[in-house]
Amino acid sequence: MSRRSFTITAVLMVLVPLLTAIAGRGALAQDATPGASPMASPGASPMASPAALEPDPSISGTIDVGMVGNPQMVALQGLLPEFNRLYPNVTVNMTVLPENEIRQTITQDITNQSGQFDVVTIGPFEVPLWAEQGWLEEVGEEAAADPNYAFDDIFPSMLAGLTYEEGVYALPFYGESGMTFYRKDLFEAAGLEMPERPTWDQIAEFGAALHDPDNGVYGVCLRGLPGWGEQAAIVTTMINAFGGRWYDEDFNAQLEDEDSAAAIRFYVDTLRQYGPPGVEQNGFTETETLFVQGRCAQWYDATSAAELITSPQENPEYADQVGFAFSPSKKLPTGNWLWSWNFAMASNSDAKDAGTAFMKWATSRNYIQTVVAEEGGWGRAPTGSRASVYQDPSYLAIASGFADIVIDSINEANPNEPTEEPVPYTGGQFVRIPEFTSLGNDASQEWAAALVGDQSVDDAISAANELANQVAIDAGYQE
Amino acid sequence: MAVATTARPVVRQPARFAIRRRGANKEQASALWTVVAWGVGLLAFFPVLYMFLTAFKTETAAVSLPPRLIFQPTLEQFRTVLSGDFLPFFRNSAIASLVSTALVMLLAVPAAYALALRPPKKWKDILFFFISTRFMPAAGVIVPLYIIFREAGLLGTMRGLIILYTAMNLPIAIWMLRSFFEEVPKDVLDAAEVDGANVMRLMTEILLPMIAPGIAATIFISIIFAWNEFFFAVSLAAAGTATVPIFMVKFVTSEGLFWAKLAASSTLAVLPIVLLGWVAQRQLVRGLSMGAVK
Repeated sequence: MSRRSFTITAVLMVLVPLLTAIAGRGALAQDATPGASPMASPGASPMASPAALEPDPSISGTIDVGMVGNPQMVALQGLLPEFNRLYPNVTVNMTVLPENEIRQTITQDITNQSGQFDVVTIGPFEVPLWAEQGWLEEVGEEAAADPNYAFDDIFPSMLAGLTYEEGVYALPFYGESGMTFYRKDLFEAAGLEMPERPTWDQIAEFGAALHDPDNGVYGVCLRGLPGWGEQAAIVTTMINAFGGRWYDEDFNAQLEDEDSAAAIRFYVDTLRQYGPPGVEQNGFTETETLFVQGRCAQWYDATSAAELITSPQENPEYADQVGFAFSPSKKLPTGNWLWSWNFAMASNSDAKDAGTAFMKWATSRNYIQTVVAEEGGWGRAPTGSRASVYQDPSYLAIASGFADIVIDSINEANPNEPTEEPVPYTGGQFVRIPEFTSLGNDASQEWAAALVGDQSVDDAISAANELANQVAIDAGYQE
Repeated sequence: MAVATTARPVVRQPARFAIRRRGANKEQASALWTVVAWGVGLLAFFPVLYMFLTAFKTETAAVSLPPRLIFQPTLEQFRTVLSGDFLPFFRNSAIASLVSTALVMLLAVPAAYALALRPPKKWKDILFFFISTRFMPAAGVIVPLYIIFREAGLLGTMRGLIILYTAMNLPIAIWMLRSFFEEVPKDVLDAAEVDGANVMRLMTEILLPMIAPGIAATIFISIIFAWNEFFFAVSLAAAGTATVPIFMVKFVTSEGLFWAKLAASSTLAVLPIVLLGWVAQRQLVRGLSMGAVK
């Protein structure tokens, strides 16, 4: 008996302080609700000046926001008190999940018109498709009418992916194109020089020269993890650059076409020869981890990686050894990679004014100022969507090595005409048809099977071509 | 372990020798099994230990190769994780797990009692029907479930989550409890009936105290399943009544390092269950070693 009561007392001694601590934290977190602790307004900001926003109590309502859990969004979550200072009568409930889960949750919600979310983060893949279905609210008009929002500051190429029949159906939070990262120290030691605009053949040559698996350094790192947003994104931009395409104008699959097949073969062969082991397990994060560990001589991926791998916190050992170059070219100068995370509003939202206020705030220049001021740096500030960021001296101070390449890559990318020969679809690193999510997943499974040697590259190309044809037939695109 | 050698009566020399040798062999075998059990135990525990250690690392230390077991610990990840809104997630998980488990027990105890001690006709079919509701993978039912939830206004509500977890755990609870009830000697029941105890009295004063460890184990398993459930929660309740597993994964990002933060949030997520298990361990061991779930 006494032993049991001792045990209970001991457990209580552990539990009570823990729960009190958690409850204390909770109370702090709940301060984020309207009316609570206004935050200091963003003080001196280096950026060319949007007018300071005045509180607007006339807008009220409760909005449910579904967001992908990337660092920029997590920072935004932390700045909700600033939003509530400006809009004291708007309550924001956030749901933050990893990319796959939030995609599934948002897609279920919007396509079923369930009305759980008022505002969601989606990509340019979904925006025109969902706008066509009438599931999204047009938001460009109101944003353009607000001079302080500086709608013209947003990169036109970003807006192009968010447009359907003249209407803009989402506001970009941050954006990216593709670029090449490399290790300057390794290149120097080997007496090599990375041109500013490399070709894919040069990437393979450098890979061969720098591949040193005995010392844990691999010549070329690329995403290999199957998935339409992972491996298929990389391969699709490579197909574009090589002069290939997924479909011809009549929606006949073209992956077995000479240029497309050459791109896929190059991808598989290069990674098999100069890639890291287990590359079929590597998505963006895993590849970034390899790069930070000093294991990649070269890496072609999203421009948004630049800020991560040059940050001494994220990359303590090699941050100052990172070199930058444009996306590798072949027949086309670029693979036309263009992606953005955007805020869009469900057309069945019952708090549209509050939703619009939130979206405009989150994608405004004022927000960028706030996050930089609050966090004391650009680490989690949204970039790649507004030109003014690339004129900001404080940003250029940390991004001088890559800012020009990023801005040029974004401006040069043309996902509305992504290929050398004409295609019936749009999209740079994806094919904008609703079926591409499963087609991209399935085709990249075939290519991953070739990466691990379970089937030959030619078999993988044929299998993917077959899948693409079947999708076009089943969906009624092909006569 | 050593009891076998001393308790036997010893008569003749050769037999004694044989017994001693058998005993020595047994001791050796048992020592070997102890080592194997420890090995398997440590192997099974290692991921949890590694998670716990990773929670105290910086993000770059968490991904460094080879992994470091000795490092400068930091509370940075716990600070980041707790600077979010952990409490609402914790509250949602606690309510969903505890209320659904209470409902499960309320329904499962009478059902298991009837199936074990007063079996109706075709009781085997009934038992099979209960468990058959668990045959289909969750992904197979998610679309109809989603539509039903939407039409019934249960999306993102605590009611929906409680109904779901009750239905999810009920079959397992009935199966477990039935096997505990079956272990009660018939004579005890007969004696109680002869003494004129009605069903209520029989249940509260005789049966339930006898199978208390089994009930504890069933409650514990029901709470664990509900606490850990992710798929239904993320699909049907992420907006509105998100639970601890959803809090946990929000640190997974496709951009940037997150292992240490994920380890810290996972440590927080498993802590209540570990504490609960620790408190109830004696009951649990007895409960899990009786009945059908040996």
